[in-house]
Amino acid sequence: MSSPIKNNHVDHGGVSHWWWQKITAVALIPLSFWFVAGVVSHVGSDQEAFARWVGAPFNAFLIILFLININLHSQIGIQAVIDDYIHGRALKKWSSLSVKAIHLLFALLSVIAVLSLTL
Amino acid sequence: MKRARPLSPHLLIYKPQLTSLLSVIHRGTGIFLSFGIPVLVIWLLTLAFSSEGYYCMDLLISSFIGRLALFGWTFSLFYHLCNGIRHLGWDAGWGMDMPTLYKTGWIVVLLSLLLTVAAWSLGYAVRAGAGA
Repeated sequence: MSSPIKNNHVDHGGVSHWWWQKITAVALIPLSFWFVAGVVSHVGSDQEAFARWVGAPFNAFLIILFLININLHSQIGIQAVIDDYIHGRALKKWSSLSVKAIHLLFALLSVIAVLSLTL
Repeated sequence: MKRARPLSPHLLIYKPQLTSLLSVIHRGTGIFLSFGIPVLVIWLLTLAFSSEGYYCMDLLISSFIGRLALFGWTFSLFYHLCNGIRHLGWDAGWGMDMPTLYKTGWIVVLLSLLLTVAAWSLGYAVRAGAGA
């Protein structure tokens, strides 16, 4: 792709942010309904019952998919807000980097928690 | 600002319209949902690793403020999801004409309210059934 305009968002090769936003959005439609239904059907349950639900292999698999997708989708969305409202090269760069790091941390910690519940 | 630069028309000078309002709410709910992620992460961590922590999270979420936030996240999730489907339609080249924009806009508002009320009604019914 030889665009005459240097575009920082597109010319990295591979799948663009735009496409990731759409892919995660589509994935999150069934995953969100499934997650809300799962939580709603456990309202009033204690820690053990919730832990059993999250730790069941198929549930854990879907929750991990949900967690990865919400973190990717959130990171892309917040990045769009930064692009629109945060001015100044340095501030933009550091806020983008922090948002990426925080979402990566959230994804890692929550996936570890879910995996440990499957044991 | 050292130099006066041309500004695009400010959002607030427009007469409020359903289309623009829904767009602002889409971004607003998206940002609000992002703030729900750390709560979900901490809840999962305490669920897996700490009974005391889980007890604290349970108290926090069950409190009035906690329920209010959770209600807000429920509505935000359903709104962002429904309006997101609207966005996906536009990406596919569907529904960009004015009558359809207004029609799908109202459907999104009604459907997200309906889904929120349904989720909470079911939640309270389950809770009553569990005797909690």
